[in-house]
Amino acid sequence: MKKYILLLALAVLSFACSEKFIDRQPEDNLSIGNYFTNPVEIKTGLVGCYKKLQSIYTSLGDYLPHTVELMSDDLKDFHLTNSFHLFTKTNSDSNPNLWIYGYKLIVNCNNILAAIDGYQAKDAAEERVIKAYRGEACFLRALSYFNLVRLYGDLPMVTEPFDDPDNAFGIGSTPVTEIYNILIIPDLEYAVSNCYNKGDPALRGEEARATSGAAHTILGKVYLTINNPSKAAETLKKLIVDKTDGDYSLFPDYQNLFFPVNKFNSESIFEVNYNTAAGQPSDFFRWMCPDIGTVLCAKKQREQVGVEHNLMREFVNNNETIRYTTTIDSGKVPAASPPLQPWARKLSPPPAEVKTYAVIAGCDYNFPVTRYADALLMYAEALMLLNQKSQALDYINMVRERAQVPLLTDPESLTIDDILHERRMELAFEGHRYFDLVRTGKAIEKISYALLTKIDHDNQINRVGPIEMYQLLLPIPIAEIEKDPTLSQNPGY
Amino acid sequence: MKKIPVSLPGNRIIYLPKLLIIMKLTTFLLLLKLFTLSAIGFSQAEKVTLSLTNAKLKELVSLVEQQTSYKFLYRDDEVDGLLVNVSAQETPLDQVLDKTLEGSNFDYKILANNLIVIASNEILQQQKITGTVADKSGAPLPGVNVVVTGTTIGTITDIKGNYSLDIPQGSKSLTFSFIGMETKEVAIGSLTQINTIMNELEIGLDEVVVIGYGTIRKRDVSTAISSVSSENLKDKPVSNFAQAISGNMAGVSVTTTNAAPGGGSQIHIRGIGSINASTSPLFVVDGFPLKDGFDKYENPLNSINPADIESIEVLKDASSSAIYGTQASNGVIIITTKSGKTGKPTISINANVGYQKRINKVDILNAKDYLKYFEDARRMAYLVEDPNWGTNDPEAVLWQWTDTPEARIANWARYSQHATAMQDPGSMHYRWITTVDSMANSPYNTDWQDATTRIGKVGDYQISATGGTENFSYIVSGGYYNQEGVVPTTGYERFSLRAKVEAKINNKLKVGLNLSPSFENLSVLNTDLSDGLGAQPHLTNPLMTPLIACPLVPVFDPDGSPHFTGANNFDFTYWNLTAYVNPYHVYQKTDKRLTGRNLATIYAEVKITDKLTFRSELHNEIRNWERNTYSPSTAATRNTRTDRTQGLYEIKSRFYWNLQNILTYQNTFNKHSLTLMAGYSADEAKYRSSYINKYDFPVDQINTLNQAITILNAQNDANTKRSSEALIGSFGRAMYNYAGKYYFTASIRRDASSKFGKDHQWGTFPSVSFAWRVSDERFFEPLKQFINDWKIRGGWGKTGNSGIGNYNAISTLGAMNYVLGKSSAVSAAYETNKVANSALGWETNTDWSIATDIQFLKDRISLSVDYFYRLTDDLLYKKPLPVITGFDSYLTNIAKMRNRGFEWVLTTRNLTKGLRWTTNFNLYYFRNRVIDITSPLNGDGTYITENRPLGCLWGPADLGAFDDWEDVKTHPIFGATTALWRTRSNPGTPKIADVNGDGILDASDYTVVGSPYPDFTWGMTNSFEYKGFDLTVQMNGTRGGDINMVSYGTTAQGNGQTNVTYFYFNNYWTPDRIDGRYACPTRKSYDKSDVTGALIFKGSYMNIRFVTLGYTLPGSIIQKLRMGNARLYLNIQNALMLTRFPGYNPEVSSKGDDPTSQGLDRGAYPLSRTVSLGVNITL
Repeated sequence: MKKYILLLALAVLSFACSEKFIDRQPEDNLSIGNYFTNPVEIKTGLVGCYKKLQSIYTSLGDYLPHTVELMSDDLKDFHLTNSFHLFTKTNSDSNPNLWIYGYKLIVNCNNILAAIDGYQAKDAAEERVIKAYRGEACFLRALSYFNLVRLYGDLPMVTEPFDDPDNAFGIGSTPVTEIYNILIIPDLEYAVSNCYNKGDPALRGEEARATSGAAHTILGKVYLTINNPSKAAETLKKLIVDKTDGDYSLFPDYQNLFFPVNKFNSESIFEVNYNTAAGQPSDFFRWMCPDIGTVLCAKKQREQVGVEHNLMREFVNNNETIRYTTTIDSGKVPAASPPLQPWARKLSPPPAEVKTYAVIAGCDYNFPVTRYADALLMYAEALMLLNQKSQALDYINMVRERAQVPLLTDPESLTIDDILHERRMELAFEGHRYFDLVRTGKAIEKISYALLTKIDHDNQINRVGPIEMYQLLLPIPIAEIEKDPTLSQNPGY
Repeated sequence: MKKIPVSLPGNRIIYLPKLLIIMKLTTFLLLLKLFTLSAIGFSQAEKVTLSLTNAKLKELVSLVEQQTSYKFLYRDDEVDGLLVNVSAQETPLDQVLDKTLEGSNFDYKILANNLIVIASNEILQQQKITGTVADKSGAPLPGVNVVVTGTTIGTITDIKGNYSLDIPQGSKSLTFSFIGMETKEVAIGSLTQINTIMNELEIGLDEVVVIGYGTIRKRDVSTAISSVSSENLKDKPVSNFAQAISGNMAGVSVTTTNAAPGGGSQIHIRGIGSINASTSPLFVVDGFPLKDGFDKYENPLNSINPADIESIEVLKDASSSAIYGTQASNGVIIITTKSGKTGKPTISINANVGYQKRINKVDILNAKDYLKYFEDARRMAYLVEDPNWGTNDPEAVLWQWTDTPEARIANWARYSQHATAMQDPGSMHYRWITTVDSMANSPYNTDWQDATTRIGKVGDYQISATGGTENFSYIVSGGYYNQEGVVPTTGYERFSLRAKVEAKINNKLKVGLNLSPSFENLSVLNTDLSDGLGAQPHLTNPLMTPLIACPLVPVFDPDGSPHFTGANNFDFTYWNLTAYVNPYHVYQKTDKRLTGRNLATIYAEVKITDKLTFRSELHNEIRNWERNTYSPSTAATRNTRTDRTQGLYEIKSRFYWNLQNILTYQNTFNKHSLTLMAGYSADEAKYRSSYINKYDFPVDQINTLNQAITILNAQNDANTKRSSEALIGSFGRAMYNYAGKYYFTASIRRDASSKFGKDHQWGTFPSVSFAWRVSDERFFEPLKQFINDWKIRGGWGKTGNSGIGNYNAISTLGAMNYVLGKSSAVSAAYETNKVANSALGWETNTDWSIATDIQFLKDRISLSVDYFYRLTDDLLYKKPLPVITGFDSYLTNIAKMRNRGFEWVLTTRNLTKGLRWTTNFNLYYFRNRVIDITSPLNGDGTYITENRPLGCLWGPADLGAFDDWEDVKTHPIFGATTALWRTRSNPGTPKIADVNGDGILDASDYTVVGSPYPDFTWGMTNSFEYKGFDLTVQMNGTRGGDINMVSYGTTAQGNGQTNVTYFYFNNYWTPDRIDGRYACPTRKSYDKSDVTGALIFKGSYMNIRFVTLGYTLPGSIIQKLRMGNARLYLNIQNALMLTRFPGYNPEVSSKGDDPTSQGLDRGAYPLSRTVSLGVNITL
């Protein structure tokens, strides 16, 4: 009898330490709390911010490059039904992918910034490294906010991690100017002073990281966007004239500029990196309409988009050959309808090679967020706005010379239209055109023209009337407004 | 200890300790059936010398035993007052005894082996009765207890069913009893031979029911428990017990969501218990609570061999299941396997072989009708580009439906958007508006459904042996089950073994061991293949493609290889037919899953006192699952004739143990009966998995992954994972009843699980239940002749649901990587991938139930009615979060849902003599409502919102087609804001309700279009028995419940590229049939309309699920064959399925048991009829 009681007692006691028994921590994942405690770990968090760029600058529909090109007058969807392209977005059709991934990058940056701010560097060398990390996180956060405010206007401004997710309710929106002044500009200024320069030994093998030059370029773009040409000129001058950020120059050969072998060349300022061998392929070449996609045997022709013929017309009328053939494949398929189905081939392998991608995941083409030619043309724009037109001409001609088109000679006749033309030829499908049009106030005119005019085979019109001013901002995702009613919908929607 | 051999009939000899015999004579008499022994004469050689005065009998016995070889048997208490006076010198023993007992009330008798019994006259002066006991088929019944009613005097029948019994004078009747048979009382009168037939027990109120951590008499049940016995499982060649019991129990819906061999069944008890956590009940096998989840392709229940199951008990309400605490909110299914039976070894063999054939086809067009539909689709495509529509003047329409193909081409070549392209004679646009000759002249009329099914086979072979002695029992069994599905490549195979031994070490201690290894081999036909486009999975699903495949193309090319049905620029199919994957190309892909599993249990039970028992059980499971897939280069895709070779190897293993210690106290005093139980359990499960995915195999012959060349994504394509979980619980229960009339039970359990947040790791789950046997009340007496038993019972309880993944409460960092440089070297990256929620806790299910059980007319009719109300609170739900947190939701306990409903069970014994006929009917319904969620959730074709059932079907409210221009002008249309008329609605295109009233038809007009839950479900089993024949007909059905055939979109508006059904073909819009039920087929559609709402069908059905006809060989033949029993039977599964649902399987659920996605048909495995023959032999 006694021994049975003993047995019973033993059985019960053996699990007396139950609290410990049921406390289980993940065995195949890090859990938060005891991580990001040294520069090596902090860097993995920073790389986690960079990683999000691949979610934002991806080839898929409803993501940034695709969307802003469809909204511009350069790209159209094959069936003429895309609501970004036709500017028929409504409250209930307020696709949130741009918003979701934009904020996901911001949240990752906030998390790692908080970790960095809580870390005490051991020595000056480590301090330098940590500050560069901080600068890069600031750069990425500013870049994401910059994209979001240009697409959505006023936004919730979040700069710190949420300890309790319930605190994320009731934040409301912050006016665009405040976001520029409180967040974007200071972040970029911090990045300018703390990121490494291009070519710094610390960046060897890690050229995809943000540099002070990248920060300068985006800051210049911010100033141009908020209509402050003098600050823009001042900022870009440091990059271009003072060369405070290292040595930048135009890559000599435009045709080969985008080839993966020429990644991170002398012209490169900031690129989103892709690499098939590392399991991170890009597939911008899938921006092909169905018939072409089938003819080229590239499977997964998911995004059925084609080039607006008015863009082709602009290339042809200006005798552009190098930039035209590098940017667009005329997509002639006699049996197809229409027989010309041009597609954006700038970030694609040559048509003859596309076939091989039928069974391979994707290719190595990077997405250029900005490059030196963009900086030069922005600087020219700022100078022109400051009425320093002949200087402006010099920088435009640097770009034109490389493209082997005649140089401009008459400073007095230089207008914003020339600059927009130059940017369109040079930077097509790199995500700039729509923002350029909005920034310069030409959006309604140019986009409506593309939507409502029949040009060559581009003879199908599926919109009644020009686009309206309010449509230049996207509707705030309705799901977010439903979650937090302190967020208000953009006017007009 | 001295042992005494005692002879039994049949020359068997048992050795018993002497001590035992003397002390427990009464028991002994009963046990060994002493009075069947015939007295034998004394040996004259045995003489005694003794002298006793007023001595106790004991002294006499002692002296005699010293001097002779005789032994005595008597009852101490009986002979207590007997004083003996004797004096003898070398006198024969019989004389001594005769003299000694003369005048007393006692006598003696001498048995074999020199055993002398001394007992009172009334016991010893008897009459002898002999007879034979048989079952209704005439087979002799060995081992039947035959007892003189009201006494302990009795015997058992021998192997031929014969008995012989000496009975005391004045005995009135004999009682015959046998496990599984109705106890029978026969009057003796003046008979000396009593032959009788025993009937099988039908409603065993005296049966024992297994409840959590204990058992209870069925009569004493005060909660909602349904049982099925092995009877319901036998003779059915099914891979798991769930298939056999479908429709057998009210409140338990068992649906075969995937009819493929080894495929998943779904079990829901009393409604739907959760949204994001598990909705499956807990399975407890011989006390071992398993951790099996649900899988659409693989049914974890398969590893339990149905032939090994003795009984299944379903704990339906919280008052019965709360003892399982956090695992019980969806009910508990307790499976008890067969145990060893003491006695002569019995060997049973069961073999069953059958064939399967598909029972239904979807009625799709043959080649001739296909061409007509094909042409109509092209007329419509032609019409929508009438340039006059572009003038916004529909009245000015020029082009006509009746235009000839030549006119259509001419008009398009001049005016359409494709005019330029059509200048080229090679333009494929002609195919949009005309049927090419090569198509019309195709010699084929392929029936793809027939071509992709075959005759399936099923075989089920079982052997078991059981036996034992009083102190040791064993059962060992082996089974082999094999099924070849009706769709090529599908199959399932199981080897299972089971051994169960129990030994009584002494009076107090009993130990046992159970082992049940099983090995399963499953061949899966993957229906979720991606075609790389991420859309239109029905074009790759080999269960869907036969429905949309064109009858004008062959299945195989002349060389025997599968015909390529993908995009093909060079034959007539291009731009005429949708590119899809020929099922025979998919069949080339292999997906093999192997599961090895062993359940092991050791236990010890200690009887601390008569009333107090301690039991300790240690259970252990080792499960190893392995998956091998290979996709050869020859398996064509939609776009390519050859594909990149790919192989995948995956292992998942689980090591799980569970320890339980249970203390039970049971006592009965006067009319009070009390059972107390307290226990403690702890378990831990560890999971391991590894996964490798490689590409580019040089050859197809060898597809182990060492051959493959490429790993695409190192981080995701080759990985291992690990996790663990732990659960501890302590529990107690008190069951009290007074005179079997008033019952009260209360239980409580306190659980802690590793899955929940620090703040909510512990939960407490109480329950109470009561019952009142009204029929035992005095006032009920007058009614008792009609209603022999009436019980009212009810209960309340709380249970929890911990059926979620591990670590949901903890925020973790997700590992990623990014290439920072020009080379492919990657840098590690981490980001937060989950919101931590330290308050994450149980889902709490509160359950009220009230019920009544009535037996009419001496159990001829019995009726049970249950009402239940389940309120599930703190449901885990993804609470929406602003995206500015980095997440759009997090899992937290916020939602609330209820299920309520009724259950009726009616059992009638219609005929009981000669032809015996029993009917069991049950009907069950539940109503589910989501009461509280923070925000509606759009699922995949479903919608969750408050005050509606969970997971309503969601889509456009179909209004058919626009009749004419008048209709288009007066009703909101698709594409209203677009300029091109072809992107707008026009006559013949789909029309839906403008639900939001904004005057525009689009996705924002989607609404709730149905509920997947049936109005009610029912089941009925009729059993007939006549002489040696038995017939069982088991049917079940549902009424109502909507099914959306989502993937069949092309059958509600044909696209002129895929096949459609006749119900569409006969009802679509044409200019001369403008009231057609469906939209006109069209080769080109630009209006962005959606027809999924047109494909909602009622899933009502009635299925004769099993018909079993058996014949038991009569006893005379059996004896000649020297067998215990032999039975032949014929079984038909899915004998008759009646339904108006046009798809394959009205129980389909494409997403398995995901409660938010029920009622969606994305292509089902065809149902098949199985006809099998079996034989069942006992040796």
